[in-house]
Amino acid sequence: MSNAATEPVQKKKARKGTLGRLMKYLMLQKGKLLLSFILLIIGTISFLYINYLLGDVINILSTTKDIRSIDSIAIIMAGLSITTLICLYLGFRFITDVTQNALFRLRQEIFEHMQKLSLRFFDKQPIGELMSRVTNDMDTINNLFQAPFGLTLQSAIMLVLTIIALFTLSPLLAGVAVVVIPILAVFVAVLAHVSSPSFTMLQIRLGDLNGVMEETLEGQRTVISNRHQTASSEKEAKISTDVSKSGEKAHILSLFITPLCLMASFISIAIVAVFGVKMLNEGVLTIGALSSAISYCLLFILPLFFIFFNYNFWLSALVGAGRIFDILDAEPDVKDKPGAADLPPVAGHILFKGVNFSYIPGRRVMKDANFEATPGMKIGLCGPTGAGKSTIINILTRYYDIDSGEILVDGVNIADIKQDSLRKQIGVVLQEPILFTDTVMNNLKYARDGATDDECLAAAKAADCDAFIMRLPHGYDTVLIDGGANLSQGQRQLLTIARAMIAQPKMLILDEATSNVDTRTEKVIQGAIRKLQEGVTSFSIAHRLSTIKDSDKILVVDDGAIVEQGNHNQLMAMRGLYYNLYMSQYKGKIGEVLDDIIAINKESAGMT
Amino acid sequence: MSFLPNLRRMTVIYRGYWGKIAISQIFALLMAACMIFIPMQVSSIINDASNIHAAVENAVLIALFAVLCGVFCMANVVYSVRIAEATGNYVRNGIYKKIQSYSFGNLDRFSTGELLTRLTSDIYQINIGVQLMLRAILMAPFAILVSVILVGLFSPELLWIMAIVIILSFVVFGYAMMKMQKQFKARQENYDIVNTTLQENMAGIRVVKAFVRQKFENDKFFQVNEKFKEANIAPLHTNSFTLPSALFIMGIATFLLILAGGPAVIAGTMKVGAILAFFQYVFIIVAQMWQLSLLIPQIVSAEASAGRLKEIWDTVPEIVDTEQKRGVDLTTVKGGVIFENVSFAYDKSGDTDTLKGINLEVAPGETVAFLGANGSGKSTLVSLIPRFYDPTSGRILIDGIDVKEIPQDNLRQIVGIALQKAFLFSGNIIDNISFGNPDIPYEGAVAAAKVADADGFVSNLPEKYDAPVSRKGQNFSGGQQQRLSMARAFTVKPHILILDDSTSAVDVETEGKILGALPQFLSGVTRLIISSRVSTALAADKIVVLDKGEITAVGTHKELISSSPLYKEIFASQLGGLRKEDVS
Repeated sequence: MSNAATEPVQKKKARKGTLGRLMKYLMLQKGKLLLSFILLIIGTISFLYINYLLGDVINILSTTKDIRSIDSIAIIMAGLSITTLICLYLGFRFITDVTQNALFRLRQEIFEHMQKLSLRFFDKQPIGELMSRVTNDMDTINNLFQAPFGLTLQSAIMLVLTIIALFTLSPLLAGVAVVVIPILAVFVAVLAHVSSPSFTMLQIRLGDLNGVMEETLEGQRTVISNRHQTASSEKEAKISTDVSKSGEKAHILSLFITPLCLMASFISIAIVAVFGVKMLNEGVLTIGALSSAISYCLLFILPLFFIFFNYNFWLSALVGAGRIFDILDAEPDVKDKPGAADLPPVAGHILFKGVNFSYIPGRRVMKDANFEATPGMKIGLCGPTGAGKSTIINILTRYYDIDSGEILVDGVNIADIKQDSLRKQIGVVLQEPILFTDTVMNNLKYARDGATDDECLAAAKAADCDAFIMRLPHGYDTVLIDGGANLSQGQRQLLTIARAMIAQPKMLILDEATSNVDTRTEKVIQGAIRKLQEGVTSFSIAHRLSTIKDSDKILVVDDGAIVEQGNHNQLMAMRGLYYNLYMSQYKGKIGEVLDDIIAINKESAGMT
Repeated sequence: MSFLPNLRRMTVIYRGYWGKIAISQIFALLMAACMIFIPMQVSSIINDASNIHAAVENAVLIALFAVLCGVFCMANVVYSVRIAEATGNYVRNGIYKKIQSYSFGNLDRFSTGELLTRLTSDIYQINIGVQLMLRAILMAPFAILVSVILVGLFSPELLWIMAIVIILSFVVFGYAMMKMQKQFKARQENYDIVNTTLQENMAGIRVVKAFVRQKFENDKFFQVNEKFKEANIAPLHTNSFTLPSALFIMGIATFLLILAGGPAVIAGTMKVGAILAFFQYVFIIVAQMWQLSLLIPQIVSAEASAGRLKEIWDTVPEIVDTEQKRGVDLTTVKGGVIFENVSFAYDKSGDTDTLKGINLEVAPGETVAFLGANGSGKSTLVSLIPRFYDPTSGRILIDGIDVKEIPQDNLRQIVGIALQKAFLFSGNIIDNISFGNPDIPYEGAVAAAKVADADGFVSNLPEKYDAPVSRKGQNFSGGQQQRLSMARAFTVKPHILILDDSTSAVDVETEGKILGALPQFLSGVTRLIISSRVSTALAADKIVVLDKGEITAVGTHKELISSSPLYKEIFASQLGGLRKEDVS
């Protein structure tokens, strides 16, 4: 159900080869699969043989009435019952192991593959959507592998064996009994033909409904403030009714399989009875064989039902598997060159030479960028909203490859070295602090493989984290729930700064690291950031000009191009874009506030 | 304790369906009766095997009953599905409507995800639960009972075998059902852990890559993946046992049947056909017992879902219009706001007040800026004006009238708000802008967009104002979303306009343009602006400084710079550092 919740309209066509590829995962445990297959066959034969023996008993009862041979048959039956139980149980159990191992492997592969994919893959769609897609697709495969897979297999075995058993009793009877199967198949095919579009329709409408409900409820506060409650109820009711109409049609049609199978089974009994009695009177069939034949007809119903019933699971699973394989087949955009070497430890000299970059071909977001950062330099980036300031993180860390130009770190072109070795030397602090559900200590250690407790404690103290960590219920062993929901925004950000310190980077990127905190918290965070910046070449993307005012060099970005460079005083003297941005903060009231500012400046100068 | 109280309530709400429910059950019973009749016919064919004529007659009867059985089953399916779908639809609409009546305070207690789960999977559970109940709850026990009675009538000496079959089925399926329920719960927990791990990894992919921890993440996932595999296998292993057990019980029953029935047939007290009939009744009973074991958990979880829905159904909206509500003539509103000793707490039982003793007077047409740290109560304060929440004590007056006496619908035409989190709905731009005032002419909406500085980027789109907006406005940047959301607030033509940090993703220069153009579009409107930027406050007539839920200072920049240390601190940190030569 939940898979319909988030999925957009989907095509119900699986590509060729998907089944084979999915089955390859089952082949990982070939021996066990074969064993379970054999066990299922033995178990099914034992069960059908009980029924065959019942015919013998009826024969004996109708003719010799030899009670001793009946008793020995009964003992055999008991033995066969136990064999059935054990073989089928083990068969199903092993099949479960095989399928779950296949799923485990597939899940692990998809996860590991996604770690290799470049950011372009993740930026293409909201993470939530990607997440629910992967989860839902894996669920459809799981739904098949849980029970339907084994049941379908066993049902097919049972169906074939039942027909063979009928043949051994009497080819003619078998012939008339199975007549109902093609007829039934035609009915089911017609049913599937009619119900499959209504299921697709149901999926589409459910998708619509869930989309509308999710969006409206998420924006419910906007709905309330704009007095849209009634309109939104009416909209929902309309789509909801459509859903239930489609649901009615789809479910009724698909449930008709049960009565059809029932009818087929009973009708085949009637046919077999008539022919059987005729043959009986002609002396070519014993009464016991007739009884067995009738029982076999009754036993048809189970496998037939399971096969038809599980058909939908197969279809959905193949569609889901197809999309999982799509992800597995996706190649990372950013690849290391063959034989690329590690970037040796650097001092942090960075040079952009004629860098051009676009996320979407043809729409350049960085135009001929040229600048130099010497080791330890603090660089600030500013510019109007949407000018492309954040792009610099994506290309300096090689989350994306540039279109043309060169980015050199200590004279080495970053396109020629291993991505990982570059990233290990760049620290990043993002606007939205990201922490993991783990202990505080483990979150800090995340920065570097092999970081010691002492290093983490030192960093936490330097980044002003120690005090609030100690106030947590279990100090450094406190588990951060839900990405640190038990901490304030500012505290989370301080932790990510401590984490960046532990990584001991030579280059640092701060992407609007203090935009979501208030002035007082900002001061604390800025203090921590200053420690982090010591001896490190840093880029700081500003949301407010005051945060980058003290940079050694400020790059002013407009429409993808670096239009001005220099320190604050130089840029102010230029009276260009930077100057305009800076002065617009005073809302034309500069005359009124200038004296206050100068007074404050004097005060703080006197204090230091 | 009553039987399935919540599910019954959800079903019974749908009173008009009692008749149809009865009809569905009649069909179910007729179907069972036909099904049970067939083994008897088979038995008489075998007993009277030499008579071809009788055999044909019996066979025709079997075929007839087979068709009847199928038709009744189909009729039952049609009724069951229809009733189930209608119940689902009815409950879904009812719950949704209920949520629409909720206030902010109610919404704070349920996450969107929670509400959505109620409306999707819980409703689905009810739908399936009702459907299965109507299809099997009466039919299966009836089929079992009648089979037992028939065996009792025709071969009472075999009744004890039936008893064994039923007890064995009961024990085996009951055990499997209970065990699997527990195992499924553990499975679900592990499933959630796998998904949380996946979610965290994908949301933090930048951090994973930045610290080059892919291998660590792979190992972490390997562990949860393996645990999930084990949890997932456990109920399946239990389930592996059910079908073989069903067949085993049938085999054992056959064994007992022969031991007991053989001598009876030889002694002549039983006909040979009875043995075959008995075998078929065993088949029916085992099949029905097995079916019940699959249905009961479904019905139990439908009951649990119904319980969760009840919670939503029974929640009373926090804010309702009072009896003596006074409609306000929109043309005469001036837009003055007075806070009279207002206190507010989100958690009524707790002792932490978000707002304490707020007294504030805003003259009609005035622009007031609110400054303060995160959590100082700025947003809470303004959200009391359109009655998103009601104060715990004190009063809020608009033009001298207590907001509680103004109908909410009326009140929210007077007070327009652009919320902190800009929210766009899928559709097109023009519908989003005129969302709060669908009657506004096209030109009016465009004019509002111009004021909000949205016209520029909208005009650059090929479809202009008809351009599509995707879900939650994802195809627009944060700054663009905020500007559209402000345009929406402007189209309401409110007398009091609240901008709740609605320019945080817009640069200072653009923000200046928007606030500057506003008075021309909405002349005489009272503006209440929350911002974390001092520069926004500079343009206001009056600045209110909040700290820990209390107003610590009110005044102009000139007044506050000398009287409020907090204001001075914020000002200095954001706008200090300008030198004389920068201005000249």
